[in-house]
Amino acid sequence: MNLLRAFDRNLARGEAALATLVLLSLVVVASVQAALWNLANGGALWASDALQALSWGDAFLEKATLWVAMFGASLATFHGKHIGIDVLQRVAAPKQRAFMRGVSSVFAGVTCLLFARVVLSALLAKSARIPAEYGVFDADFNTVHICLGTAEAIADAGYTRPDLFCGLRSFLEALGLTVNTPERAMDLLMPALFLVIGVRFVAYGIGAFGRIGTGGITEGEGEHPGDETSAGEGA
Amino acid sequence: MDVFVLLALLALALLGVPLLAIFAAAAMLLFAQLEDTSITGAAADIFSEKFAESPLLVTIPLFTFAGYLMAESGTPQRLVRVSRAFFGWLPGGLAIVCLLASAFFTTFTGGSGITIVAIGGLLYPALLQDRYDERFSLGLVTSSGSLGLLFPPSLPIVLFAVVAGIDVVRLFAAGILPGFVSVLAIAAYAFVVGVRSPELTTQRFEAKEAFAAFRETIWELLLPVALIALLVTGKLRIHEAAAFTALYVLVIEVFVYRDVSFRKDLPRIVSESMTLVGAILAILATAIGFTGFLIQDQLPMKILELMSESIDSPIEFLLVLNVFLLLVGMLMDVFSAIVVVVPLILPIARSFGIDDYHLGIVFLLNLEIGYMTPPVGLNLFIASFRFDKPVTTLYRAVLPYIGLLVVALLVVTYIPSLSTSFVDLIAGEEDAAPLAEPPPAGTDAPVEEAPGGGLDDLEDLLDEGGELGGGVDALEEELDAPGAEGELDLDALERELGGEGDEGALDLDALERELAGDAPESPEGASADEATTDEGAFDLDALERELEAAE
Repeated sequence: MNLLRAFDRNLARGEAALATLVLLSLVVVASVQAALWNLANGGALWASDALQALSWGDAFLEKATLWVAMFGASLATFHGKHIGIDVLQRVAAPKQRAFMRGVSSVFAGVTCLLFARVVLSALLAKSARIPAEYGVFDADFNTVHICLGTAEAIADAGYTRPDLFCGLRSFLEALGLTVNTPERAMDLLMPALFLVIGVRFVAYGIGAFGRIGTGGITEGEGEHPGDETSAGEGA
Repeated sequence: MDVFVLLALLALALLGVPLLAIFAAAAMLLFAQLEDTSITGAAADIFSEKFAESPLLVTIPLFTFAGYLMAESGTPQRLVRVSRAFFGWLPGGLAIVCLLASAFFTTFTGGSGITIVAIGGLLYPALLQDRYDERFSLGLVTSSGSLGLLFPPSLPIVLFAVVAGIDVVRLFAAGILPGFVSVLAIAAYAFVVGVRSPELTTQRFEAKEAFAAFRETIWELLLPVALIALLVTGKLRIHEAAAFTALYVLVIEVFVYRDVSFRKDLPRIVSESMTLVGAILAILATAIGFTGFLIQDQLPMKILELMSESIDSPIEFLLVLNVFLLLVGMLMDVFSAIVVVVPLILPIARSFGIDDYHLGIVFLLNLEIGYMTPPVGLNLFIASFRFDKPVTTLYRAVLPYIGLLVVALLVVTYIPSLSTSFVDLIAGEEDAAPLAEPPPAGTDAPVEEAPGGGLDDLEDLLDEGGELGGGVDALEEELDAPGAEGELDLDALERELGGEGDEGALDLDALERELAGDAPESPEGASADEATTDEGAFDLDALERELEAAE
C-alpha cells in the first residue's frame, strides 16, 4: 500500500514537472511568435523568415495546451480538486463523508476508465486516414503510409522519410494503436491520462471506504490522509 | 435517457461525484442508446475545433498562470496600498478600496474564491479596525470576490467565447461598461454607509504616499492598460496577449519585485494553476459530447417551442433567463455553468434576437451574483471557511449586496447598448482597417476571403480532406451519385483549373489521385456520426455556383 502511495506521489511530481516545462515552453513560443509577427508586420524580413521557421508554433501551442490541461486534470484528481457539487459532503458527518467520497470516487473512476476507452476509439478513428503529406504509392498504385513506402516511392513523391516518427509509429502499432501523423500520436496522451485519472479515482474511492471504520474523513481533508484542501483553490 | 438514469446522475452529482464524470457518463449513456451511432460519438468532438483545436484554448492556461502568480506574490498588498492611498480619504473609503482591489485582482485570477482569500483576508481585519460593521464587512469581502469577472482578461469571459464560438476581444469590450455598473452599484452603497457613519475612520490623502504607492504598483497597474491597448489596436492576437500577460507577470514578479522564487515557488504555482486549468478543461472535454447530443437532439428548439407559447418578447425571455441563470449560478460553478448551459441557450437567445455579446455579459453577471446567492453559492462557503463564521451569518450579510447587484443586472439586461456599444466601436474600426497580411493558420484573427475564394476553399478542403478524408470523399461520392442534385459542370471546372495564374490554383495531382480511387478505405469502426460531421465535407452546389460566377 505504501509502495502504491509513493508511486502515486512520484507520478504526481513527474506530472507537475512536465506541466511546468510544457507551460513555460508555451509562454516562450507564443511570446516569440507574437514578437516576430509584429516585427514582420513592421517590415523586418528576417522576422518573416524566422516566423516561417517557427511554422510548427501553432501546432505546438495546440498540443501543449492539451498536454498541460491533461496533466492538470490528473493533478486535480491527485489533490482532490475536481469541480463538483459537494454540498452534501460539506454538511455530512465524517463517516458519512467517507462513504459519500467512496461512492463518488469509485463511480468517477469507472466512468473515466470507460471514457478513456471511448476517447481512444475516437482518436484512432480520426487518425485512421493517411494524410496526403504522409501518403505514397506502392507498386500497385495504392496509397500507403510513408513509413511503409519504399525508398524509391518516397523519393518519387519528393518526400523524406520521418524516421523518428516512423519508429514511434511502429512501436505504437505493436501496441495495436495505429496513428498516421505525429500530431495524432501526441493526442494519445489524452486517453492515457484519462486512464490514470480513472485508476486514481478508483484507488482513492477504495481508500475512502477503508476509512469508514477508522473515524471517517473530516471536513477539508484531502484525498490523502492528513492533506488539507484549502478554500479558494479550485474555485 | 430514462428519467430514472437522469435522476440517478443528479443524485450522484449532489453526492459529490466530480462533474467531469457526470458529463462523461451522461454523454456515453446518451450515445450508447442510439442505434445508428457508435458510443465513440461521446468523444468525437474532443479532437475538433470545439476543444483540442480551438485557437482560444491556449489562453486559458496562460491567463490562469498569470493570475496565480499574482496571487502568490505581493500583488494583493500593493493593490490595497495604492487603492487606499488614492481612495482611502472618501467616506466609506476602505470599503471602496476593497471593491477596487478585489475587482482588479479577480480580473486576473478569474476564480473569485482566490480573491476572497487574498484580498478579503487582508482587508477584513482592516475594515473591522476602522470600525466598519461586522456584517457589512463580511458581506463586502464576500460579494467583492466576484466583482471583476466582467473585466478583461477574466477567464470566464474567455471560456464563454470558446464555448459560444464568438470573438473574445469583442466580449472583453462588451464587459467593460457593465463591469463598471456593478462596481459602482456597490461603491455607491459603501459611500452612503460612509457618509451616514461618522464614526468610521478615513485616511487623509497624502500626495507623497499616493505617489510612492503608485510607483510601487506601476508594473501591475500598467498591465490591463497595455493589454487592452495591444488587443484593440490589433498588435496582439488573443493567444499572444495571453502569452504576453503570462510572460510579463512572470518577469515582474520574479525579476522586478522578486516576490516569487523561480526555483522554489514557480513549480508549485504552475502545479496549482494547472490543477485549476485541468479541472476546467476536463469538464469542457467531457461535456462537449453531452451538450452536442442535446443540441443534435434539438433540445434548444424544443425548449424554444415550449417558451414561445408563453413568451413573446426578448424582454420577457431575458427576465426568465435571469431567474434561471441565478439558480444555475447558485448550484454550479461559473466554468461548468458556461460549458453546459451556453450551448443550450445560445440558439434560443439568438431566435429572440438577443445579441451574442449582450447575452454573454448578462450570463456572466448572473453567475457573478449566483456565486454568493444563498443557500449554496460557492463564495459563501469560501468566506465562511476563511473568516471562520457560520454560513448562515454570511447569508444575512450578503443580502444587501445581492439586491444591489440584481439592480445592476436589470440595468445591464434591459439596456443592451451598455454591452454592445464598445463592441460596435471595435467592429466599426475592424471593418474600416485594411488587413495587412493574412494571419497564420490556427489563429482567431479575422480572415478576409481572397479573390477566387471558391477554388481556394476547394483546395483548402482537399488539403483538409487529405487528413480527414471528408472533402475529397464527399466530392467523389457526389460525382459517383447518379442524378446528384448538384450536377457539376465539369467543363467549367476544367477551364477554371486550367486557368493561368489562377489564384485558387488546385493541386491537380492530388485531385486526380483521389478521383482515381486511390484514397485509403474508410477505417473500420469509424462511426456514422463521424462521417456526417466530417470537417472536410463541402457543398458541391456552392462550387458550381462559384464556377458559374467565375465564367
